[in-house]
Amino acid sequence: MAKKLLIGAAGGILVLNVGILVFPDPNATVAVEIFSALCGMAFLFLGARAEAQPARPSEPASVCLAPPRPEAEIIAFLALLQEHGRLVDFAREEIAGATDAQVGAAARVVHAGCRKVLDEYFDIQPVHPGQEGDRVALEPGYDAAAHRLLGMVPDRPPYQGKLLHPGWMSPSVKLPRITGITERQPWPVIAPAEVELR
Amino acid sequence: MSSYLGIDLGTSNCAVARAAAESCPEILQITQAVSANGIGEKALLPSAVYLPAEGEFPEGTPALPWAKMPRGWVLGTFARDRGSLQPDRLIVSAKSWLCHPHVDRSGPVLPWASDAIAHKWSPLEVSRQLLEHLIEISKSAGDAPDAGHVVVTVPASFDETARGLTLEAAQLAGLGEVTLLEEPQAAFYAWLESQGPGWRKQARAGDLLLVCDVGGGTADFSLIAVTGRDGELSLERVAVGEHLLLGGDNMDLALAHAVSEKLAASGKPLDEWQFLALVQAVRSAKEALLSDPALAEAPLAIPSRSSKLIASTARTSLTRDEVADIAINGFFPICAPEEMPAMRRAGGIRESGLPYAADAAISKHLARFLTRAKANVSSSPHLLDVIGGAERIARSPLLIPDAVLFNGGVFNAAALRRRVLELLSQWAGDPVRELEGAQADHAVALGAAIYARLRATGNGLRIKSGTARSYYIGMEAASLAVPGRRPVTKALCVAPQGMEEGTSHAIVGQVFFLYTGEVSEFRFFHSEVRAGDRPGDLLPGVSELEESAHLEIAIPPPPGHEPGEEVPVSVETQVTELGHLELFFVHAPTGDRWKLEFHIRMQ
Repeated sequence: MAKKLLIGAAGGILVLNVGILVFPDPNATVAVEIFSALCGMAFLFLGARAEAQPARPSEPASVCLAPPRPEAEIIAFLALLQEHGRLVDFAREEIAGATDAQVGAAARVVHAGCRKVLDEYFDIQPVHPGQEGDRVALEPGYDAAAHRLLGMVPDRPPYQGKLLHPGWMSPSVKLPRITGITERQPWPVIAPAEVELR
Repeated sequence: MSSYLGIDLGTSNCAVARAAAESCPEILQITQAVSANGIGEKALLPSAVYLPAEGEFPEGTPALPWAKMPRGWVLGTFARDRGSLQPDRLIVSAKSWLCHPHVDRSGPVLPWASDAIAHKWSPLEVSRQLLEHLIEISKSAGDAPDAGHVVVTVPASFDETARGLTLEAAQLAGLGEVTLLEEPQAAFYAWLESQGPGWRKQARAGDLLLVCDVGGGTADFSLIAVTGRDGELSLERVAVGEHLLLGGDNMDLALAHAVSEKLAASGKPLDEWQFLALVQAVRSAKEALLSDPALAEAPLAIPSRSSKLIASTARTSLTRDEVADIAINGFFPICAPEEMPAMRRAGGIRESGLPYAADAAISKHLARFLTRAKANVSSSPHLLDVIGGAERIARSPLLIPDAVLFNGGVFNAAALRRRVLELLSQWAGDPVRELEGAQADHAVALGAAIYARLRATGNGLRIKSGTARSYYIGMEAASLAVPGRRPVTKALCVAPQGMEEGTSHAIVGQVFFLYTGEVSEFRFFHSEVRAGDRPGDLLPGVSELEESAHLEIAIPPPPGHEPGEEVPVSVETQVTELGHLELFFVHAPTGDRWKLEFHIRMQ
């Protein structure tokens, strides 16, 4: 809107100046020149004020944002396992040339840290109570999503079998809530680069 | 429905508990920043503040649900974790600075000895921010706490200045006038509640109970006597200990140094960050060894901070002998009852900082406490009566308890509890037993909530305590002026030990002359071992007393007097209903009273 006004005004002044060229008239010439000068000063003044006024700041990342994307949650969880258990360092490193003792020592670090994270944010329990090797009876209507059957499986339950793995499940998940998500950074880094200063 | 709040403002960790009218108190989960971009809940709030550098958090520090504006600093778990990597920007153990005698505790001094921070914080400010955080948590968990129903714990060894600063922090945080409770008493209240009526089976009339609280960075001892009258049992606190900066963290550091030397000797020295990881690893290894007697050694894997985890993790182990040598025999040696801890050498140049204990042997500190407790009880006929008579005193140079209540993370290890009981039993000549059923975590916060409820409803057994110390004002003895000799300072007892809430004493017979319109200063002393002194007693010297603060007062001239005149006043002390000690000067003819302010003694 302001731009249109500006262009319209500039156009008008141009027409006036062309007019006095075409139809020279001493009074009209002086009048148009004064008018043009005043308009020029006005434009300069307005332009300077517009520059001095800072551009309206873009919306800062406010405290209540849209919920973080699923990728952000996953990456944040992986970042937890890396921070406390060094899981990404461990999985990304070349293992072929390392001795068992070295891998074992690193595994202790990963074990301690990852266990801490799992214990803190989940309530992990076995799906099936009992020891591995126990006899298991599955009645019709058993929770098929929580069991995996191996070997010779008849058409329909009841099934008799041996427990190979008790399974794991967690009735609750309470992970930290993510903050600091912006357009520029939709999910956090898995681990920040570390720089030592002396 | 009213709820009662107990706040444990700890040196390393804070906790908050809430008790509703009839039910068991529960620990509230504390929302805090747990990582650079995560907010989560934990039962403990580490008492750490991290001051980030400019541009470290371009999107702002992790925003808490109640913070309207992004803050330039972080407190809690993330602050402690991030600050461990940048120790110059981390404030920890601010509470221990509240009772430091030579530091301006309201001035910007923390982080101590750090050049990295332009705007430092005061210990008072840190306490206030921690309390504000905990208040927000309690608001989001239910109703906003009503000041009359909030109890904040302090160590029993905190003097009046430190207690006053804690109260001030609570005022600044918006809590109003709170009640303070000593931590060992809070742990005892939590135990009483957990046992229910069955506690009488474990503690009988005539018993002396030791509350032995050794946490991460501090150790605190208190003695509580059980008295019986007509079948009714009652409890009275008879002695408190000094503020000891010694705890489980010292043990972990000692073990870490031993292992680090072992590694350096075998040609694999550790860098600074590996040492940090070693302290953590050693803590878990120590707990494993102390809880499983069959284990001969616990393996230690010390990662470096590089991404090459497998290639750069150092391996070693912590042996049972090392734990026995350092943790058990180094910190809890079996010593004779006369062995006192080595004190700091007077007159050596020492780096200023927190007054950490010079001797790591907690056993010796316990011996010193029990010796001083005996001196305290011996000085007061009332306390002698409470513990069952003078025969108990005569048996030994120490006042030996009959049973011990353990508190603090250090005593999660059964081996250390057994060692302390063994030590005490040796001193006593009779077995000393443990009070069963102590909950090492959160006992202090739970006990504080229980006490808040107890005060408001009157239901439950209260430990009779009152002021933990006796207090004295210094008076210069009237004597002839002798060049080069300072006049002797005498001490006038103004508040006896055990002065109860809602009582006051007017000191008759001693009159001070104050110049009106000028600031007058008085030296202020206290003692934990002189329970027998009554208000108005004049001690010939101050050598046995501890000086903590000085009192300042400027009196306007009473009507009928000119400024600059001397006016005779007498002293009156009062302990308010909330347990705060206040001192007044009273001008008898007009009845005007003026309150004395405690000021830190700066040197």
